[in-house]
Amino acid sequence: MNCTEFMTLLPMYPDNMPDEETRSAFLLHAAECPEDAARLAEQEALLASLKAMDEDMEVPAAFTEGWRAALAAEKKPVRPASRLRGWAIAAAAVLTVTLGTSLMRQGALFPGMTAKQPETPAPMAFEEDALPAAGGGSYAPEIFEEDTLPQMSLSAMWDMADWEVEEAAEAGAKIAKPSMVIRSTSLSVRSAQYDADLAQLESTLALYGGQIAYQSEETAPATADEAAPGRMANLRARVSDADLDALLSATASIGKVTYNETSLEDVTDSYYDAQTQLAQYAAQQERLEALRAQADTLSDQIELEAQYGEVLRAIETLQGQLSLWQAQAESATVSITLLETAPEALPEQPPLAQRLAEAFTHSLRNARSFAGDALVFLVMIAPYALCVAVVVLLGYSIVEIVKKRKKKENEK
Amino acid sequence: MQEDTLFIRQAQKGDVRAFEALMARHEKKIYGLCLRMLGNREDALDCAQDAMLRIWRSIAAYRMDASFTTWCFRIATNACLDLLRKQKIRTSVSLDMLTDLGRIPAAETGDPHAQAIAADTSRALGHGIASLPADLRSAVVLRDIQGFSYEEVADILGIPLGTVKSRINRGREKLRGILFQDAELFSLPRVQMDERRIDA
Repeated sequence: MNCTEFMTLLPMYPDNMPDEETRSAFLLHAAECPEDAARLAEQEALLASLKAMDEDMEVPAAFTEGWRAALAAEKKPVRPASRLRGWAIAAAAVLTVTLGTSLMRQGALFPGMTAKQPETPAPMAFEEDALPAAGGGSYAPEIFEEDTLPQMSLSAMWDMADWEVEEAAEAGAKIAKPSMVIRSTSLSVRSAQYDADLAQLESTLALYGGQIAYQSEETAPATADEAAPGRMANLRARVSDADLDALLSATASIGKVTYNETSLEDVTDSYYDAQTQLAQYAAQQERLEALRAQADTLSDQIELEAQYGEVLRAIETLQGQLSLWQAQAESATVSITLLETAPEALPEQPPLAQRLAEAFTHSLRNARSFAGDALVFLVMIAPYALCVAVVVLLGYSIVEIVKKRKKKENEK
Repeated sequence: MQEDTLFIRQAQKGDVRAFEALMARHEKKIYGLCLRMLGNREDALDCAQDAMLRIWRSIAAYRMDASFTTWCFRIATNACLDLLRKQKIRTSVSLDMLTDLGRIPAAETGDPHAQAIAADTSRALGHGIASLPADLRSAVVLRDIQGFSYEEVADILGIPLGTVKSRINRGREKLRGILFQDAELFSLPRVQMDERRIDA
């Protein structure tokens, strides 16, 4: 170590030397260099003097008495420390921001700044008149003017031939031809309680006057949905057309309807055509009966008999068809398939980890949205807060100035 | 100390007597700090009194996480620095300082010459300390006179430890340069002037 290095280290001696090695080299140099040894002695003397400066210092009585007297003169006692004050302020700030943001999101604060929800499209308005009526879309019957209709049963009305209708029209009675619509409904019902639902179906049919025309039971074929299917019951019943809608409503609550089809067959034109033909054949029958009575020759009689027979057969066929259509129009056909299924298993809950992850993701999304809204809220109240802060600062400054002036006056 | 903790808690509740008992152990050092920092008795009295009041007013906010002594001296040092800033003085040593200087090397010999040198030494020490810039002065006073450790000095002044060490080194160097212009002050053999670094 040289003298320059020694002088650089001198102020650091003895308590701030870089390391022991440096200290050893420093002291070794002092032992070898008389001038630096003297400087070292000066430094040690200086530090000793500084250390001893206050050892026997006496505290002036004026100081001791003075600060005690000043303490006694303090008007306000020292308030106890409130460690919770900081936490209370922070809690109040968080509560203000949370409450303000919530009110803002609901539109109670700063209306117009509510987060715009995606507009859900209004449900399409259906013009009811444009839709077919519920229940299969049966044609509305012809409008009857009840005041002008004679009191006739439906059968009597259906039995009228065209010429009779014309005569009635000439007589002034306005009669409209009723529609002849054959309704058929097919239902497929799945049931986890097969026996109970089957019994309920049968009783419901009976309640509405339905007559079961056909009933069978078999094992349902396997499907993609049902690997182990149960029983399957097929019912076909005839129900009064007027009671069909009520019956369908009553059966809607039985099991789970998976298929519902209603078909309509309008045979009105065919029916009245057949009626017209029947009338014509009836007239022809009368004429043939008159001719048979007047037939002179055997050949004429044979020919007339043949024609008469044909007419009779045509009349029977038409009458049969008319009766069938009439019966079908009066009663609707309901075909029900009841399929036994296994009870629906409760949906399995996802694993706990998945639920926790979904809950966390959902909360994180909500928290992010709330944080964004909170930031908007803070920006919106910033001007108000700034005004309040300026007012408070001004007030505080004025109070401090007044206090200092009073203190100076007291000291004078 | 548990007794100090009890006094502190009572003082925080407003017990003046507890505060007086607590500060009785620290008032001498606080006064000594103010005296060395400001260089004259009058300013030291005012500043020390102000420091005691500041400590009283702030004790409610004192948390037990730091040493009470360093906390008090932080307040007292700030009071000294505040006063220095207001006054913007580089203090001169008054004759009154001679009565407060305490034991001085070579002052106890009874030798009039030695006593004269001791008085000069005391005066020179006070002058030298007062001549230091406020930042170096506070570090030297707290470390070399008050006896605080480097870490405590850093805590009191609120500066890094490295800065404390640097200020103390520079303060000692400046002080040495001021004081050893006259080798007789410390009764040491004279060293060639041209070989000294004078940084006064």
